[in-house]
Amino acid sequence: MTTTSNAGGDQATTPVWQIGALWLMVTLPAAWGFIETVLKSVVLFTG
Amino acid sequence: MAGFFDKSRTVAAPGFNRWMVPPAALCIHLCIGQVYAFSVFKIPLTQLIGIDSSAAGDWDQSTLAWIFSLAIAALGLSAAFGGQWLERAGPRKAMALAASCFGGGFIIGAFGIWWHQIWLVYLGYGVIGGIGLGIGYISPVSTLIKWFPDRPGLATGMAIMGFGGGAMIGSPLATALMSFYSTDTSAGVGSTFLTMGIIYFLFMMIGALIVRVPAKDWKPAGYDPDADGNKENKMITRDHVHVNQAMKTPQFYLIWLVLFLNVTAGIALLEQASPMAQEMVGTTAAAAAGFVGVLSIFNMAGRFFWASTSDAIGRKTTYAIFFVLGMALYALVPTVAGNGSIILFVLACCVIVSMYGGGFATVPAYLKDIFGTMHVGAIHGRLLTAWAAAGVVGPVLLNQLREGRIEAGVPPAEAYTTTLYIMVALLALGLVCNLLVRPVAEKHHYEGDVNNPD
Repeated sequence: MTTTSNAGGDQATTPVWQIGALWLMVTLPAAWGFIETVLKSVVLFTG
Repeated sequence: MAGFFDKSRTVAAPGFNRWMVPPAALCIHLCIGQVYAFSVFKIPLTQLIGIDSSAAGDWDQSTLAWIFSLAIAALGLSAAFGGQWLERAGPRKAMALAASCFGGGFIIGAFGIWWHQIWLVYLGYGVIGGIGLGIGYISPVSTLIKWFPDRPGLATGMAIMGFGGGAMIGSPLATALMSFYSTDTSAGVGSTFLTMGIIYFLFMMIGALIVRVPAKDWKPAGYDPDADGNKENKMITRDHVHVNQAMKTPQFYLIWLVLFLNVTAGIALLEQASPMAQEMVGTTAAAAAGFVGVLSIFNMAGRFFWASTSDAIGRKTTYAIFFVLGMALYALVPTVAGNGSIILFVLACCVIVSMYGGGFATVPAYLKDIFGTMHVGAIHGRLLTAWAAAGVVGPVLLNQLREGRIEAGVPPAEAYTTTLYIMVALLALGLVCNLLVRPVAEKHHYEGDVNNPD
């Protein structure tokens, strides 16, 4: 599966799954850290 | 193998999607942002011999403080002096070097902990890891700007937000690993350092492998740098300035002061956030710790919000907002605290800290607008000396002023007031510097081949 439109390039051939997998790889640990921080902060601040 | 890391091997093939580049940058920044979570090791490193508590021969806090200071000093120096090499070598080689230094620094530090040799921790995490921090911080910036000439603030904002988010990953990761490795005879800090070094090295190398530079003359579909709207905006140059020439322009020093003053004010608040919350609005120590956590979220979110907003409203206007709104909020904090309004106090501090993060994330795009894209990474590296300088001046200024006021008989809760008003004055100075930034004079423009600068 390849992209047919691309905000950046004229010819888009980068597979969508590659872009998705990459973003998932960076957002998953970031989301884990973010949720940990939010929960800990809210518990401390309101507790 | 060395050829694989060469800049020429990283030129994107036609059809490469530019949205692959921000995750590559995030692979670096999410790792190196760990440095802000170093305090998680502060207590365990003082109990390596005693395990449950400090024993004779254990390192003390003042000995350990040098690790973080060395890392930040090495960050500043490597960013300042490594930028020009980075522009020649390309992002893949620079990111691989950053991964080797940052991951390797952790691993050397692990041996220092196992053998209880503090100089190895200084050398490893402090100096070598710090070089990885500096090179890693600036390595994706110019590449992102070249891929996103239409939205440079958004692109660099994403990466630099990752630096803010790195601490949020680094802290729970280190805590989980120390808990996993701890035994009756070891706190597990050495094994945690080794594991984190390997994880960070691998993650950063993924970024190095993915990153690509755009082909010569590539531009995003539908983007015309010479369109009428762009042409009219004199604050966005289409010329380029060599890094050494940039150092001879007043614009470089004005933007240096803009960053320095914005960071000084922000750092001063961040450093004292916990005692300020306790002494000014009477929160408990635990609630103050939660307040610091909330600030770190706004510090991270502000990087993305303000940098991407700057694409729409312009860099000069964005910094003008930082300074004007910052002055109003710093001036308001003592009054709000005096009225005992915790919610308003927290809100004001959160907005201030979001603008502190926003200042870091918006400055690469500001440099691109003023000096062009040719050496923006190298110029950004030199500008980061403002961060190092502010890191020293901000906390020292706040502490000295506060202690001076307390010695003069002012109650601790009121001792912050004068300091906050001085921050207002610093921000006013920053506003003046920002308003003085004008386009670079034509005589400074680079005349040679922009694709192969000397």
